[in-house]
Amino acid sequence: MRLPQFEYFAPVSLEDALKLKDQMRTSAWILAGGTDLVVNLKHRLLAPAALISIRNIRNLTGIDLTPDTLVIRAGTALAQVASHPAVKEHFPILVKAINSIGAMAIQHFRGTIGGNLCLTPRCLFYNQSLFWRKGKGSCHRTGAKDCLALKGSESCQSICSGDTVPVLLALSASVRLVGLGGSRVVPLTEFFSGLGESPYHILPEEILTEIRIPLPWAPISWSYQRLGMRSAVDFPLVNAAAVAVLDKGKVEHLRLVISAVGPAPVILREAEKEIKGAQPEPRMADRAAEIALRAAGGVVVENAIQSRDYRVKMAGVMARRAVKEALRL
Amino acid sequence: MPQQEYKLVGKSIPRVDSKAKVTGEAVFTADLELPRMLVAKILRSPYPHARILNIDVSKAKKLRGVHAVVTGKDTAGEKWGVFRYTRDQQLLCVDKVRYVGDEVAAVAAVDEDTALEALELITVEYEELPAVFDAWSAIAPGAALVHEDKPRNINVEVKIDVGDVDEAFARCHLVREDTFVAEEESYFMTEPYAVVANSHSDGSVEVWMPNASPHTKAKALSNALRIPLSQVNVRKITIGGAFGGRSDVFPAEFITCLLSLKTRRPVKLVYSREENTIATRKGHAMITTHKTGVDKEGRVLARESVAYLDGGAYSSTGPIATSVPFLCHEQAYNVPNVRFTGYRIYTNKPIGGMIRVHGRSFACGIDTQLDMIGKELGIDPVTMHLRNARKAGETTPTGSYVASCGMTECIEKTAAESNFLDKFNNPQPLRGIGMGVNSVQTGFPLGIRGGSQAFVKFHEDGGATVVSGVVDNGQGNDHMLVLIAAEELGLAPDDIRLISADTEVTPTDAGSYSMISTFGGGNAVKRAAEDAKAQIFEVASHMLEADPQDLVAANRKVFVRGAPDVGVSIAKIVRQALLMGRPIMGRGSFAPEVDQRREWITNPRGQLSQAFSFGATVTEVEVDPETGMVKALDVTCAQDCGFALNPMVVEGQFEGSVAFGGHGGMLSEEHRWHGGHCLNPTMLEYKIPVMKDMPRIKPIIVETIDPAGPYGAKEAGMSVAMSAAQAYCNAVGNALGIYFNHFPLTPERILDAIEKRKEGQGIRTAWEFQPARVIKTDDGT
Ligand SMILES: Cc1cc2nc3c(=O)[nH]c(=O)nc-3n(C[C@H](O)[C@H](O)[C@H](O)COP(=O)(O)OP(=O)(O)OC[C@H]3O[C@@H](n4cnc5c(N)ncnc54)[C@H](O)[C@@H]3O)c2cc1C
Ligand code: SF4
Repeated sequence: MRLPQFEYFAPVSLEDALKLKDQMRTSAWILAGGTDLVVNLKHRLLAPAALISIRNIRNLTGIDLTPDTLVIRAGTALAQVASHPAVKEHFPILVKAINSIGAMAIQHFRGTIGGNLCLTPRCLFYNQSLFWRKGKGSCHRTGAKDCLALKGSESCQSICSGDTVPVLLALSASVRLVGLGGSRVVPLTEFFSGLGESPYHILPEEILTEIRIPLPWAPISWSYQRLGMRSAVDFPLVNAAAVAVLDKGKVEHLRLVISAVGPAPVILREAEKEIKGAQPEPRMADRAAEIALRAAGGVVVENAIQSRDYRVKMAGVMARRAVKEALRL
Repeated sequence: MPQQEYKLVGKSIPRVDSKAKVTGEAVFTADLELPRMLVAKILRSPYPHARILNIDVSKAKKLRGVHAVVTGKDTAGEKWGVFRYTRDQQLLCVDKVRYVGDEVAAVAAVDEDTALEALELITVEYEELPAVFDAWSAIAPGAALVHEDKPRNINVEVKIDVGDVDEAFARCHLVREDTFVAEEESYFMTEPYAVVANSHSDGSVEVWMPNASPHTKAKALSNALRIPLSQVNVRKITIGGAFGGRSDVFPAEFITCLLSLKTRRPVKLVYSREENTIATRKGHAMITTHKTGVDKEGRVLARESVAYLDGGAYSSTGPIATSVPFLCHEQAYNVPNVRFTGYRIYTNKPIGGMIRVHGRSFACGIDTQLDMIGKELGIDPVTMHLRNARKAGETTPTGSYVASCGMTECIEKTAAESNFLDKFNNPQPLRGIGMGVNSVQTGFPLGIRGGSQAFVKFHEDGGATVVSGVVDNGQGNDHMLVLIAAEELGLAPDDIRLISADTEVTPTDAGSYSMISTFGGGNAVKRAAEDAKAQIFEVASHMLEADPQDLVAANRKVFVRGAPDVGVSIAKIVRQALLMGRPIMGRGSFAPEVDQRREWITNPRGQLSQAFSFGATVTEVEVDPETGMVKALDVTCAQDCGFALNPMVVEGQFEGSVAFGGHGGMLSEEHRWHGGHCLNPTMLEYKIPVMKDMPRIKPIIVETIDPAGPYGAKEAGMSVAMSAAQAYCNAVGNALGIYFNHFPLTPERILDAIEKRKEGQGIRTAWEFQPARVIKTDDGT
């Protein structure tokens, strides 16, 4: 398959990249590892006038440890993140999530953590060739005002599929977005729009430069659950992350997130509220499952290779397992 | 010759083609570069069913860099079909399109971008027509017709009726009827389809493409292009997998040749993965109802099966695809009274062809039902299989004599090795064990192209060139031919050069479908080598002053049996022969003893194949009842391959068979559809297994030394592929106490069955499906 034509820039400084982005706005796309972007270009899903590669920008790769935060630069390769001593020490849950992304080749040679977070949401009616889509007609994502998966749907319910998404959210991470005019730090809770057609709150002139994870104030207990048909290659069918602090027999803190259900990850606040402050008990896992099932039921549409029904059920199972493991039930 | 005297055959040695493949040196069709070569692209129908009102190519023709644009108008209107009575596919659509992907127009341009741009400039006016997407709606009275002259969309009807089925059912101790459904599967061979055609000023055309029979392709092209057969030269090229999916003729090669003839330039067409999936072939979706009657001991006395195959838009190998699921079964099991009615039904979907597991719903239905009957009678699966297993010396219901058969040995060995009965009788929660057995043919009656011929010529240095029509599409046929020639001639594999699968040079062969390459082509090469050896011995007998009968060829020498030290080198003998004006030129041929009057529809009786392979597989699994995910733990597979010419290759075939037929085929591989659109045409969402998920596989080679096979060899691997499907199915069922009847067993289906399972429901299948019945058409036939 052929790539469409586009201009290609590979600036060596962030400053230059930002200038280009500022001039071209939405007509220029950021190219990190390209493992998502290039496939989408080949399918003619995007028609950017230009690609701005960030590979040559030195200070967009690397990991820094400050007294209270782990800062991962957006262009850092997945394998580099997973093998970093500070990541291994503080956030083994992130290591687990990265190790489940695609295959070794993606983790080692190309894929970046920023790209993983900014992955274009997926849909079975969207991630197809131009030929395929021509016969099917357009949807919210491709210029029309309807959804092929759910007739009459107001917005696009394509699927946020990154493995690190629920994990970073559960770790209360935030991202730094930089434009020519300045930089801002946005908590991940506010990063996702919930609209598949424009999934991230990132301005057309901005580039994501850092992922910032606060260091835990106490030892954390965690779980990352993901279901895939095969143990490599497949995007998560549903995933869930739970991060808890257990202290004196009580759940001091809990963040429970399910993802790969709709355009944004879903924080199961109701479950968190019920569980926080109480002693861990098995029924909590079942409650989490019920809540996840309900939450997934509200967002999942028939747009993946597995049925809607199955994906909703599995959201419950993944949430149950995540809570069970994180609360050591 | 007793086995232990063989120098090469029977030993595990690396394949002759392995180095070129692992180093990337092997040249595939898409790698070919010829001077002035153009790139072709095909415009395909975006609709499942539509009338073509008008095609306007004027703009495309004017685009700079475009050398030719062709549509149905540029063809002679020839239709392709494997049989005279199934010619229903226009090689470029003229009046109608019948599936999403049907070929409408094609361009040849200087490069791929220009060709793609030209496709965009072609405008086609369609009138969309109502479409049918599954067998039930296609046969409904009043349904839209895919081909107007085929009422109820019935493409093919195969009827077999042997013994007295009704009388036998009346005598049965137990009779049960169940319906089994399977979705479509695909091949996903590593190499997507590609064609290069190069026309010459003498009117001839050379063609390279992955194929399973160069001679069949050449004949079809000669017909469609209306040029003499002697002007179509299909060349040899490395092929990246077939699994049945390269057995047919496609519009692609016709279109590429047409473009090359028009432009007088070489033209290359390379399919995308999506095109390879939708526009070559796929497996059939299938609904099968089996009614089986047994005596008190579980011996099957009668069986009646009705099957509906969702064939897609065109016939392809329809009559064969409809028959083979039944034929494999009648070979594997002794069933004295049997009736089969098979329908292949047209739908507006991509075309169904031959695939490694012939009829998942048929095969897995048989073994699932046997397990159910065993359960009712209190008989374990091993005994059930043994009691009904085919034996050597018997004749199948449709009249094939079975000369060699290791079925019983396969069942006994897999059962013993896997400790089947112990595990079956002492079940552990969520663990399951299952057995499947099956059999495949080595060749079909194919008329003038049913046999194989070969030549052997010698070089001055004592090396030889073997010429054979056999094509290697990944399974190792080249290696097999070289090995046999080297064994016979007392040479090393390195001394043999092979020229094969080139229609200009090599003699005909039955093609590497129907599992006949070793049996047919291998025998032909063996005979050619024997002929050459006899000539060598004749010359050597003078040099060694010995009787030719007493001579042996080994280690590049000929010597008197028992005196290897005083031999004379083959090189010397070859030179002596040249001096004497009697150059060594061996020739051999082999035509299997089959009944050429046998025909798939009009006369399904008589010897089908001269030999049959038999296999049994045992699979052990663990099921996660919350997610429906299955983990396969161990697979034990045995096949009677006659004789293992190269055990390493045979074991490799077994392993591939487990992955294809069992693991992928039964746990995850299926196409999903939205209207006529295939939702998963590529490798991300069509779930072929990954290495990480494969179970431990224990291969067991069973040898029965077939009287007619080369060194006794028959076929390697296919009986494992089929029986593995059945074993996986029964193992998952055993883990959950569920008899599955909808395949493959995806996690969502498994979960659904678990939720629907009721205690005390008796022995029944997981889902109730409408049974397939004999179709009564309006004219009462
Ligand atoms: C076969 C296959 C299997 C895969 N399986 C998985 C899987 O299991 N799990 C999973 O999570 N992913 C999977 N992926 C997707 C992908 O490989 C990974 O998510 C990877 O981490 C993406 O990173 P990248 O650097 O290659 O992203 P790119 O393709 O370069 O970018 C992805 C998107 O993010 C944007 N972007 C990237 N960096 C920035 C930035 N700094 N600022 C603003 N925008 C940015 C790009 O413009 C683009 O839209 C798979 C991909 C393939 C091809
Ligand atoms: S969810 Fe609907 S709108 Fe979004 S990409 Fe899929 S079909 Fe289009």
